[in-house]
Amino acid sequence: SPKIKWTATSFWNPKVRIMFDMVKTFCQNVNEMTDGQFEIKLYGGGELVPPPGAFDAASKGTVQMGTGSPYFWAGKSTAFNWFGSIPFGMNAQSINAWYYAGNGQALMNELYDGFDLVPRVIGNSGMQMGGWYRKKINSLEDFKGLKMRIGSIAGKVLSKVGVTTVFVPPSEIFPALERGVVDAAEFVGPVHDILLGLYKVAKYYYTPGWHEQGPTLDIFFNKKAYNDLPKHFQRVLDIAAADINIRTLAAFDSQSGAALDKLVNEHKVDVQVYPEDVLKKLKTISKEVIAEEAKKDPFALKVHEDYMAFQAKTAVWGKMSEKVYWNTMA
Amino acid sequence: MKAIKKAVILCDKINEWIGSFIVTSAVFLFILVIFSNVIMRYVFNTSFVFMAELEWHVFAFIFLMGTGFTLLHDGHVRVDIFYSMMDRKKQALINLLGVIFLLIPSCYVVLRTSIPWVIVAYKVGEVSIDPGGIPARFLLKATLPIGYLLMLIQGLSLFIKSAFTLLGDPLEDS
Amino acid sequence: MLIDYLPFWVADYLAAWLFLVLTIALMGGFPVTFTMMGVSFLFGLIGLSPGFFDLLPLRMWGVMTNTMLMAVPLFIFMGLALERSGLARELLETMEKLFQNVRGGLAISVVLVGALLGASTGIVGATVVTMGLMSLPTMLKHKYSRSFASGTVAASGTLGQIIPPSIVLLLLGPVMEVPIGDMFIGAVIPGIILVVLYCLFIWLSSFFGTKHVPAAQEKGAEFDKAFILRIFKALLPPLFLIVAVLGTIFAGIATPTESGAMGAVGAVILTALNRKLSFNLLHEVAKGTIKMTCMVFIIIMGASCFALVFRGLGGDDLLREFIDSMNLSGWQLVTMVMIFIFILGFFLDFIEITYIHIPIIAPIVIDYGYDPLWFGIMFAVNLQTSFMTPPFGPSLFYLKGVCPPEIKTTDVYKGIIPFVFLQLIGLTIIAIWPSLVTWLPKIVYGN
Ligand code: NA
Ligand code: NA
Repeated sequence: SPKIKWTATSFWNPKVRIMFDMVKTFCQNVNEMTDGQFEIKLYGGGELVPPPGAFDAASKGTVQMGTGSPYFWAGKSTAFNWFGSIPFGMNAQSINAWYYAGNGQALMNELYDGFDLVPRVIGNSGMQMGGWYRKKINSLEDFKGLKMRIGSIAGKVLSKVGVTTVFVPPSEIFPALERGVVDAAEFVGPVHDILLGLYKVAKYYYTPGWHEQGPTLDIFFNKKAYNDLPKHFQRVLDIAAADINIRTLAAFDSQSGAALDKLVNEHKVDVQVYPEDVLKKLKTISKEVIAEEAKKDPFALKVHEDYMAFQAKTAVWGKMSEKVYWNTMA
Repeated sequence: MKAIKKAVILCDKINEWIGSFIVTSAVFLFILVIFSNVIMRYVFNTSFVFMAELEWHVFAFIFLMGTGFTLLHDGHVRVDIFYSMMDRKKQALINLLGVIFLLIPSCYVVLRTSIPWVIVAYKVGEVSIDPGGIPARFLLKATLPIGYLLMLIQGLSLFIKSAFTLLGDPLEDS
Repeated sequence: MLIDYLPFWVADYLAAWLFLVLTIALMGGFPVTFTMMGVSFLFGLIGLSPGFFDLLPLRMWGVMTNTMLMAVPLFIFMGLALERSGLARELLETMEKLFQNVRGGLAISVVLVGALLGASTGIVGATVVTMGLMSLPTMLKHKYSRSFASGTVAASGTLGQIIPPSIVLLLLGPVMEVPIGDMFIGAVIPGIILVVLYCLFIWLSSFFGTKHVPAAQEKGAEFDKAFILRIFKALLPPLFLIVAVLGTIFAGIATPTESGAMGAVGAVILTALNRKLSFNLLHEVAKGTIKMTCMVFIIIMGASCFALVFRGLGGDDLLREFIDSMNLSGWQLVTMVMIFIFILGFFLDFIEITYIHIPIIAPIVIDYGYDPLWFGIMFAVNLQTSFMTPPFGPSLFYLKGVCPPEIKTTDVYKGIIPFVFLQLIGLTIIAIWPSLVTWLPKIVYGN
């Protein structure tokens, strides 16, 4: 029988594709890498505790492990936002560079340590979409009075260009969009959006996901439980997380194209790009809003400054490499 | 004896007052908030994150703060197949045993586990994830232990009343 | 831990024992929520580490922040306001006059009023009580048998359980992960089927069961201007509320949750128009709302404690293994589940079943490839049936509480039996033709 038995609870319920499956694979891998010595019993979101409870449960040590995405815990400290995703922030490639080769991991450790947790990055969904719209966005004017289901920092940014943000429970997004209670709704990306059937009620699918260009998924271990592990088991967890981080992004990258293709060709969705001036304006506002947000908390400010410096550095290279390459390919 | 009766009256008064004054006000506030959010959005094209969050804040407040009041009026569902056939003394016995073995442990578990949870929320300074949302989340979290405390208070009143009924001296007469 | 000292047939099946002990303890009659929490706590102490209960506030917080349940107090408020304002009474009296010329007309009007009240609110208790007070005496006066009259009233008053908006559907949506809008629309045709079955039965009874239904009616009302105006006036309030609720959803003004507030405000306006609005009435309605809301949500809180311990003890896996081991075909599974729920409905409240049993059963049924919406509606009709099935139907208790003294419990029981059969026929129809449930949401939402 296994030497170590852990209980884990995820933000994601088993119906959420990729995210939940990846965490499940993580647990299996840990078990096999330790020759069955380390067993993790995984509960989906809502099974043991409601999704957001994963953080508190692991923090308290009632379960030893939890998963989700850093910005879900932003209520505890605004600094979590930078580890998840901020508008016009870094994409998956850059953010991984920040974690593994920059100060990202160290700063993340420092933040989670205050909650008795040891964090690791366990995935990235890559570039997301900008949302579903019933009306076209031709200029900034079209945002005035637009009713949209979008929350968090992005919601605040949009409210500054005249968007009325509307709270709608997940199960009511569809009827709300269908009846025009909201004119637009933000969800995830093609892989998940296609399941929700939003294409039935909103014709325009906007890109890019300027507010979520590479959101990170996190896994966290209760500090005491982690520190009590033999060193080689700790490394197993670290490396298994890094492995799943790559695989999650790979799963999104390989499935998003097919899903988008299906949306466009089968469901006749009209994919639209936000006009350039709209994006520019949103970027300017986003920078202000994020800077304001960072001032709320000294640690958030520290993370913010490091993040921005790193983003600027990677941008130098990105502009000369990826950007040129994709421009050529398009 | 008089002191005990006074205690019962006090328990009942606390929950009666909270229920019929504070929570009824919350019910009207609840309807008004949702109604005005709809009007603001549909007619005036505006919304406030604060107001949207107020909806579920008041909602949780209602069903937790009104629960002692509901117990006072015996409004909590019972499976009354047998209970309804019993005479008053047997019912009092059920209530007496129920308070000791079920109600008190229930309230104890909730209070024991939720108070530290509220304290953590207070220490961390937990707020809404959405900028502009309602700060001081510990206040809403605190309604959980408070609600179960109100039920505990009402449970004690029920216990004493049942004991008197069993002793053949029902309190209602006085 | 304590569990190590127990024999294997207790220790290995602790979750099943929890369920059994809870069922027995509930029969004691102490409030359900404390029974659920107390018994779960006891089993948690036996089989789980004490720290496990630190998860409890997290679960309860999930209930406190479940925005999908916010509509419950709103619809309760609306129903109570409608009842206290006397508008329900006026509607009933007018409908009685309107249908006096039809065979079994009075009974048919009771069914239709039940359906209308059900379509504007859905508080079964309030509807049964209101109709029991008003139409039962009238029906007896018109020579309907005691059993037939009470059966008709109890069944009609229970229609609000399935006809949207309904609290059962509202609670069931999030549990089944079906949008509430789909649930509401999906229940429309099944609701109409039941109403048609009821009316057909009453009409046929007027030919074949004349000792229960008087064949000859007294001369009905004159269809003069005044009477038509009265009908119009009586129909207006419930129609107004239907527009306030369903209309605001369809016009894109409000979400289904918000539509409850539109209905609540609408009910207050109606009360004012009926000149019944007073501080006292509003205060009474609000107090009633608190009691019914707390009753519902405190059970949910208790159930969340039960579910936590049940899961922690591995109860889900146990039940799944049990059902898997029986190797049922899809149809056998659905039939078994329906019988199981029907029996549970005899003695458990629908809220308990929705929160304790459905989360465990639904995933299994859905795994078999059945549509969650269809299963949800099947479940709602089934529960509605069991709501009025003797000997332990809540609707029967509500009615008995307000009956004229000459009506005995046995009258109520006898009278309801044909309606229970009609319900089962309705359930079978929906089971055979699932598109009766799924077709309308597809049309409305363009699936
Ligand atoms: Na209804
Ligand atoms: Na029953």
